[in-house]
Amino acid sequence: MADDEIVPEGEEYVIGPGTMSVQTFRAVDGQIVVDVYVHEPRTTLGIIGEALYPPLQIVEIPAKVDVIQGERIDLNFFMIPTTFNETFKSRWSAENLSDGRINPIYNYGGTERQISLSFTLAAYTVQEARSNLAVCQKLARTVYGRYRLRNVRDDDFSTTRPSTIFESHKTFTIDFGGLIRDETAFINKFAFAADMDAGVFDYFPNGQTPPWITLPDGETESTHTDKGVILPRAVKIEIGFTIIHDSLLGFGGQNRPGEPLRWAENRARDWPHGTGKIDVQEYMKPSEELDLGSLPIVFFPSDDGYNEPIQDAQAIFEQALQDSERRATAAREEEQDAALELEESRLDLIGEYNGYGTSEQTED
Amino acid sequence: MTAPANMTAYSGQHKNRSVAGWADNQGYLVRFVHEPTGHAVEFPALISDFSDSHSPAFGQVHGANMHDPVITLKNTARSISFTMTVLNASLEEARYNRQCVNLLIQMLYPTVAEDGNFLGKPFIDIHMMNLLEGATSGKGITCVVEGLDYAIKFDEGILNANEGVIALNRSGKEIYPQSLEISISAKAYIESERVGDITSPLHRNYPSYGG
Repeated sequence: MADDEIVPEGEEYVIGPGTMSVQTFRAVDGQIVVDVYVHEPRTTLGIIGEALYPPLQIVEIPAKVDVIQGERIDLNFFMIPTTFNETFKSRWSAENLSDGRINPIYNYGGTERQISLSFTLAAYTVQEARSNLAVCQKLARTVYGRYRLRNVRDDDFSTTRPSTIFESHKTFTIDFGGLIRDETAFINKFAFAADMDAGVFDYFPNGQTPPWITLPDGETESTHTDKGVILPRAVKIEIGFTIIHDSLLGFGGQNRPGEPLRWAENRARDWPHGTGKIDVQEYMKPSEELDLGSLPIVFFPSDDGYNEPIQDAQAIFEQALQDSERRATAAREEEQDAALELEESRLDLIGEYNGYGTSEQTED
Repeated sequence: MTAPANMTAYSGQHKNRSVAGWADNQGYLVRFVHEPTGHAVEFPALISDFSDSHSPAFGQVHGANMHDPVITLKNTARSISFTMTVLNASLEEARYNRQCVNLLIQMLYPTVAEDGNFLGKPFIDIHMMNLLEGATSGKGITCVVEGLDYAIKFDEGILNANEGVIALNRSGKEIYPQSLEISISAKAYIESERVGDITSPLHRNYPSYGG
């Protein structure tokens, strides 16, 4: 063995809260020399994660009906992502009309978006390890459903008793920097693995530490006092999201009348991923506001006159426009009347106040 | 009326240290054109796992006292799949490439009427040198893209607006991979050729590999 070669095996001893004694061995002139230095971890997962990556935010959207609500899931944490996979899957169906036909007829049904994110939650301290497990616990609950209470009748129909019935899956708002931007989603996968190769934080009971280690009583940053509790230094998580888009997707659409080449959302932001401090492309820019009269007339099935003959569409539209203007004028007049009344009552109050002062002065 | 977008491969100030410079020099480019809108986007062709399979589908009829079935060709489908790597050599290129990838993803969506109905089906013309080339030069092969996978491996490195610990990332929220992989699987729409009054089922150059 060459002189000064560092022998890879070494040991770590805990010598105080938040500090570690690290020993390395090397050979010098046939003698083994032990170097000891004290290492004080100054870095935490939060600092590394925050410097490099945006936080992952998972916020549960409350149910619209009364459900048995445990603690609402509201997570915002830093982690070290390892992979990010996003899948866009288009639904096409093909009709083969006859044998030998070169191309089938393709029908398009929509495009779905799913995201799979895997990351590591590393812990430099016992407290971080506990915090990571708490995050994992909440993440695991995201894939379970919501339940609510309902009174059901017993077999003899004479009495009722409360029963728990399944309501729905949970939905969340997800945010991860420019890659997932406040999207509504449900969570379709959660997998948790403790990385045992990374090690665990050991248990040291109070007053039972080895003689060469000085430890204060209670939990330190690198030891804990709960016998039988495993606190892994790293856990690996894989989580999957199915995105339910709140915004319009495609080109054209109701927000882009007369502009079929522009992206439908009309919000001057890139989609699906953010691009920070550069301007959006021309086709993503917001449309100029158009005069309502210049827009094509669209009737929806819920509109009055939807079933009227098509030649009457213009008349119906004009009637609807007049009605709308009439309602707007009436609302304006009502508002003006209310303001007048308010002003009158204010003037009355001032008058009463002045009169009160005058009468007092007269009495004086 | 907006003109269709035409996003070519990156040609900004860091082109000389980007793979885009070499790709442009060699003509190694992949171009996607969204048929309903005409929007186009181009990437350096860093292609892996390219596959172009032509799969016949046969019907079989088994008769009495016959060993071999009677075979009927029903149709032949052409499926294309490939993986493309997008490399970012600078923050500026990363932002531009993200807009390019955004447009490619958006091409999976149709044009939409004002009442919300889908209008133009999202067929995409894909042109990849002589490997995917239509009968007309410069035009790609019309494809029905069934899936697009977007994959980042963070351990290959990231670019994050170069703001470091001081600014922290929570304000900018920008995060770009140094490399990302895009895998595409599609069915090709096979071109036919019209010569005079006769429509030939396959173009004479089909499948136009350039041989």
